[in-house]
Amino acid sequence: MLTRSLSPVAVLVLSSLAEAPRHGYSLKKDVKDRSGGDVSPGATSLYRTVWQLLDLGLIAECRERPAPEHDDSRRRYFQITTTGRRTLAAELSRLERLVVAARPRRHAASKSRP
Amino acid sequence: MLAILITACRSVVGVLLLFHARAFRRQFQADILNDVTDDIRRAAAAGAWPALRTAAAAAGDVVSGLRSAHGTTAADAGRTIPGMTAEPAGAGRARVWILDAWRDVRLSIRGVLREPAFSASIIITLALGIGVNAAMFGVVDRLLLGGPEHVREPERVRRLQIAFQPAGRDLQRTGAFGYTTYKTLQPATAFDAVAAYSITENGVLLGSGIEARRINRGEATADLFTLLGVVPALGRFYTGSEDDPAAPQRVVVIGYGLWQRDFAGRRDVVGQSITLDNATYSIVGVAPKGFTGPDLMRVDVWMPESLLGRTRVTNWTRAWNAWWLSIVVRLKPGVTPEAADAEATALFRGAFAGSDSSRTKATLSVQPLVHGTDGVESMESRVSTWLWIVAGIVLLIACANVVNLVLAHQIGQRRDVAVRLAIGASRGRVIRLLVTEALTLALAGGAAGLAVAYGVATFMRRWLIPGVEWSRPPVDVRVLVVSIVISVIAGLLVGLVPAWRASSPALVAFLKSGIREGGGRVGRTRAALTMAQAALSALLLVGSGLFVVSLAHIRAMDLGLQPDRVLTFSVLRSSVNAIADPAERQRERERRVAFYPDVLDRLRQRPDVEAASLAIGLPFSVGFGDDIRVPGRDTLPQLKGGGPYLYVVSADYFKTVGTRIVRGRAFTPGDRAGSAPVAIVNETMAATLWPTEDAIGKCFSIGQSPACAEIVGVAVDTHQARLREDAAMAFYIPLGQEQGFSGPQLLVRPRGDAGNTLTEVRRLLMSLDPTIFFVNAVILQDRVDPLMRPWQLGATMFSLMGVLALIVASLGLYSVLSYLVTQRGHEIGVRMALGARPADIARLVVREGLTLTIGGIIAGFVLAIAASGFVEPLLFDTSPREPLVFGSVAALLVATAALATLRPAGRARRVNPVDAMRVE
Repeated sequence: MLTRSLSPVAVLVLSSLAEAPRHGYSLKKDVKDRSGGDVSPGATSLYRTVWQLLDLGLIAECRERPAPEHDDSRRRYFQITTTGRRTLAAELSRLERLVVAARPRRHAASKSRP
Repeated sequence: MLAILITACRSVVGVLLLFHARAFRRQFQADILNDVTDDIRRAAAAGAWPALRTAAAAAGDVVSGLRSAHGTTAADAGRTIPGMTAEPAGAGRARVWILDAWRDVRLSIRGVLREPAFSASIIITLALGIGVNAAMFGVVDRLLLGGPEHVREPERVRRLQIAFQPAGRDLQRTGAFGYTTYKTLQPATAFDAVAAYSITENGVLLGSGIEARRINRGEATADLFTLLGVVPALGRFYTGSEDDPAAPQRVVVIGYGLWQRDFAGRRDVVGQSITLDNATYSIVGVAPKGFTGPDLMRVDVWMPESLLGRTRVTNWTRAWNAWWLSIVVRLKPGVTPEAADAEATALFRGAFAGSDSSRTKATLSVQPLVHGTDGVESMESRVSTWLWIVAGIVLLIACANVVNLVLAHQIGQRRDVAVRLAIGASRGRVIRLLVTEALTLALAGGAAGLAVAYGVATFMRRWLIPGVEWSRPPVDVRVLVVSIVISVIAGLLVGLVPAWRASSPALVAFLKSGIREGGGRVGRTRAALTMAQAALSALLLVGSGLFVVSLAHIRAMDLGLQPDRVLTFSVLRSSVNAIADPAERQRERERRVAFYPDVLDRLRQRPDVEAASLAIGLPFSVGFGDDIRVPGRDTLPQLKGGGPYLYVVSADYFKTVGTRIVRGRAFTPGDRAGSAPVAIVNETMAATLWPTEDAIGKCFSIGQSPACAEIVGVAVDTHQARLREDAAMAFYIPLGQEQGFSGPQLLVRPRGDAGNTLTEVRRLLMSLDPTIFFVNAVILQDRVDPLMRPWQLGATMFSLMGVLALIVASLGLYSVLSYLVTQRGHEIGVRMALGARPADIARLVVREGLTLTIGGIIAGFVLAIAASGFVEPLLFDTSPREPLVFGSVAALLVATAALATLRPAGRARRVNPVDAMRVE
């Protein structure tokens, strides 16, 4: 298991690949769209994340190629692994818990902060 | 266009990717390049500007990808951890070493790019230090090391110097000889060749009419060119038969610059004629680019000595009392300088037939070519050498600064290094990496320093040493090589010490225990370095202060007259000897003599002229002397300054030049040819010859004349020719009472703007006499200013470097204190928790800074006083221990240090004790 948390780009890459295998260029575009433009990595930053995820075994390169009319022969395709799915799920739930914890509480006692 | 942009961007990205780990590159380089290409194409649909922006963003992204230290995984580190690769045996070792080194370089550049602010401050600091050193090397190289260009085997070429001791005066060393000495040395067996020459700035008039201008003239015996071994760019140099004193030919060789400028570099210039001083000469050749003879000043035209020797003195080939040539010799192989000296001296003494008795015992010696024409190092050379030493000190300060920064920065990096060591990298490996990083920074600093060198060198050449023909560009191959060498040395200096400390095995233990850094005060090393910087800055600033004070003294000096209010005019006409008919020649002579009084009358009536007079002999312009006989004295005391000097002046002279009469009267129009012989003496002469009585009323005889000229006035002393002179005797006689002197200059004291009056009077002169083809008009100040240049050079450059040193040192102090506050946050927190007020903490920081500075100032002053003996000859009327300078420097340094402590002290005050004390 991971000892440190994933970067936002990594989370978004995993989410994107969780939907379908993609190649690098469309991955970049998808990450940008998902985040509404907030996270828009350049080519190098993206591929460094991909490399990191490959190393950690959270994603893998695709053996199969999509149908020829959708295929871009230059590109390499990536897909998420089982470990990747599990890690993504764990990470998302951790983030959710963090967001909830960070919200102001509705009790009156919250006025007196340490 | 798009294709070009895409190709360019791909190349740049490809290069930048080299700094990423190789495994990453292998897997993803193609993808990255393809993506970038697609992005640019897509953006190009929206216009050129978006395409450019996209390309730039892609390149920037590659660089920022380096910065993500967090982006590297343990596996990534495993790919690049030193010491983890298995060592292959034998020949493979070398290859691995090279690969390792290349990896180190890439890692260094990554490290540098990862922290732009830190790296930039180091690079800028080093650039300043390396840059000024490179610039000073270039200057010293030209003045001292390189010597004049186009000289074959320059180590065998020497200048001749004569040393003699006139009665009552110091030993004189000059490089001035007559043609007779040149001839006498011809048969010497020690020399392969002997040649004589003289170079006069603005010595001859080129062309005629409105566009005529003065150019630099070199006069030389024909064998000068064969002696030096110079090859002409075009045509040939004149030969010995053309330089025959019995029948000199009107041939000249023009300089390369003149050829380009006035003849458009045309290759058919050989055989064409050129007008010099209103006479025609034929061009036989063009000198090569950068040829300046044995000196360094630009020469526009070379003329045979035989054409010009006669203009100096009658019987110029046999006169032993005239000294106007420099002599260079080429030693025969195997001949020692001592042997050459002995033979030259013997030949000279055997032949000398002059009237100056002190020269019969003169000694001749051969001096290096790079010395000035007097055979001693010129002031410019000496000052420049000093400045190079100073530049070296600035570099030391810069290096100390950088070491400080690196040491402080490493505190933060220790964890990284400790990890590397813990995983098994050898200490040597880690040191190599850190040193490579330092070298990378230093070389980058050196590259940036070239720009600094260019600027500094150009400034110095244009404004401070303009008399030299700098034939090479400010930054040439030699300067580049020296820059690289200096950068490497600086890099090693800066890298080794911190690397050694950072990689000590104690580090691992430290890491494990988690102790905080900064047990004591500022680390001893860093304190020492900061103090050293302050000391060296103090030293430089004292030097610059002394030079500035010298310069002020020179400017304020009383020369005895006011050169900035004296305009001098001398007219050029064709030689009266060209007139064949003797009667007509005499008439012309008389007409020319009568010309001047007429002019004086007209000038005095002008509103823009306050006074006008004539003078034969003028301080800083041309000097004459004569023997005198004083009744009641057998011998005359000889003063160190020489003399007695003689000036032949018309009535308004003293008013025109601003020399005060202290007793008696000035000359009146009644003192002229035929009236009673009178004279005015200067104070030194009056005090020397009539110490106990009033000189007025006494008399003395001049030259061959039997009459005793009566002294009617005493004038203040004036300088004769130099800024630094010993006192000399000088006297004035009225115009018309002289014997054997001719050629008066016209002097005008303007009322109002000097430049305007200069032009107007010149125009008047040319209109009054059509036979005048040129009027040489000069403000006397223009002859005095060049004498100040060495001190101007010293003052300007010392001050520049002193300020530079101050900036670098104060930045160093600032950074040291900043890091101090950062690291000792814990200690500060404790103090505050125990009751210290923010003001106390701030005071602590300020005190620390000031202690370091004051310690440094004291050390620096000690050094300055120790070195005072060396610097004294370069100063002017200034003690090297001048208290005003030391006081000001101390005040400046303390003030700057106080300023540097402000921000760190402020930060210290705002430290939150709770945050500071939290355990990491």
